[in-house]
Amino acid sequence: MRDVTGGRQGPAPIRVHNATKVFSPGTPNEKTALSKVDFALEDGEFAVVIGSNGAGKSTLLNALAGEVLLDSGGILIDGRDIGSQPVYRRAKLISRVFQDPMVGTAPDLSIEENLAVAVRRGRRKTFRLGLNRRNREYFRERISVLGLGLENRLSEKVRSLSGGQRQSLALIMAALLTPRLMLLDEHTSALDPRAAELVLKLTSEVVTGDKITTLMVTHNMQHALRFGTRLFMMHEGGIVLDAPAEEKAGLTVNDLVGRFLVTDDKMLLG
Amino acid sequence: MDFVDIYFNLFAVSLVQGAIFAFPALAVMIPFRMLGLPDLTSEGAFPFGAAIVATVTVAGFDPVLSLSAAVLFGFVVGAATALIHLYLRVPSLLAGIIVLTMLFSINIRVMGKPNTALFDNDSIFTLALGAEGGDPWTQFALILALVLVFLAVFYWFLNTELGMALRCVGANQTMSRAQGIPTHCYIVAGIAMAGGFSAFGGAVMAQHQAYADVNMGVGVLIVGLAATILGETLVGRGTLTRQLIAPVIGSLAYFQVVAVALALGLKPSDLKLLTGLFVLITLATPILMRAKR
Repeated sequence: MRDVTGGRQGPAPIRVHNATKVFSPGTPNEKTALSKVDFALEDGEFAVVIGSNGAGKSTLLNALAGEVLLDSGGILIDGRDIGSQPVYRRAKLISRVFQDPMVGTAPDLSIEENLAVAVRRGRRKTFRLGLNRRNREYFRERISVLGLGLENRLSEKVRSLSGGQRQSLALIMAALLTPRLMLLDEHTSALDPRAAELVLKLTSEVVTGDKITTLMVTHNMQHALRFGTRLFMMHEGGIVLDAPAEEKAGLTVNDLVGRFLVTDDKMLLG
Repeated sequence: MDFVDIYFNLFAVSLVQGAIFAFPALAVMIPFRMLGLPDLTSEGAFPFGAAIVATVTVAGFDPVLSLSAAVLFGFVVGAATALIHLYLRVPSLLAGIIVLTMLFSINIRVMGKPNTALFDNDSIFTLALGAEGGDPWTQFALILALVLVFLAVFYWFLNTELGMALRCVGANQTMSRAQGIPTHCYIVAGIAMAGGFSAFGGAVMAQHQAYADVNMGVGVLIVGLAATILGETLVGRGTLTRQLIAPVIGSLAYFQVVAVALALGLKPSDLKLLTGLFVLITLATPILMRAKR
């Protein structure tokens, strides 16, 4: 295996170890979604995951988030196995932006209330007021980076925002309390090209600015090449390509398409 | 006697009823609007609150303590419905029906008989308004003050970190979990609060009429629903404040409409039919309007 420790002693902070998940085992619909997936992420690494439909990208992300529990293998963050924790417990360490803009935010809460929930992510809630002058000021500052004018609409319900605005807000929320790992689940695929571009640019700024260790799933190979410091290609539940930054920089869309075809051939031959 | 006379006589009494029913109306609104999880427990929690307050009062405790006991037990039945729904995977409506059905027997067990008279006992009305328990106007003022205190506390709570998390769970469960909120706990707490509100309403009702009866819950739910919908039509639900006030305004308005209907010569027994039709029409209007286009 590639040396991911960067010369540092001890294991990497994020480790996925032998992760295996089979859906509907023992039935005609049996499907191996993850098969002995093994990788480690260094602090601040921005990994992009591509792969065809059914390759296991979503299952990998859901396994990390806790929506799917692994059959075997482990997920370690700073040496602690969180593999059996429910979603809400992992939220302390892991934040997530969903594919569907409707899922990542609470429509009936205002922008500032959504941020107030996010700033307490995974922490104990108290009888203190969720909003006060100080955190409002902080939210205003954080949301103004978007350049969307949302800082002047803090008390408006999120229901009234467009898909792109919601995803931008969701991204700010995911980074508000710096997570140990941020998961981006095709978070621009439901947006129009302009909004997608904006959210991606913002993603890149947030990830590099706050040095957030990130795993981003995407369908778009151009995005996969333009963003991130590492590239994973998945096929049939396994990682078939793991390109570090230098190798990734030399790749083209054609290379990736070629790889896709090769793996498909393998599938046909096998 | 003409319409004006009858309505005039009913006016203040209807205000009192409207104020009392603000509590079960809130109990219907909370699960329905704030948690997005329709719940019927209030129909059972209302007479349960009455039975508790009657029993505790007859046992010799003071009226405020017995009201608190009613709220506490209301919490418990609300929580029971939520737990049945969440952990036994029973749909929330069915869970509510099961609980309110069981409560009928429990209420009789609690009181030892189907009803309890409280004519010789103290109530918050005799405590605050003198031995006669006040006239309808002062009674209305007292209950309205209670409603406002409850609303203020509840409004404050919904703006705390805990309350915001509760509203977040109601708005989006997937997101709430991803934000580290244990959604099950909050749903139990929310439905429990609704149970407490309804039981409190039933308890105040029992103290007001100095009488608790196992059958006094019949129709509470539909009245609460009608009040919520009517209130939302009158004041809207665009903000948290409006959403909280709507059931109260709606309940007051609903009982005025009822008074008008009675003054026009309708029998009290017709009211459930009319209320049902009202709710049906209000719910169906947006759908029929859409179909027209």
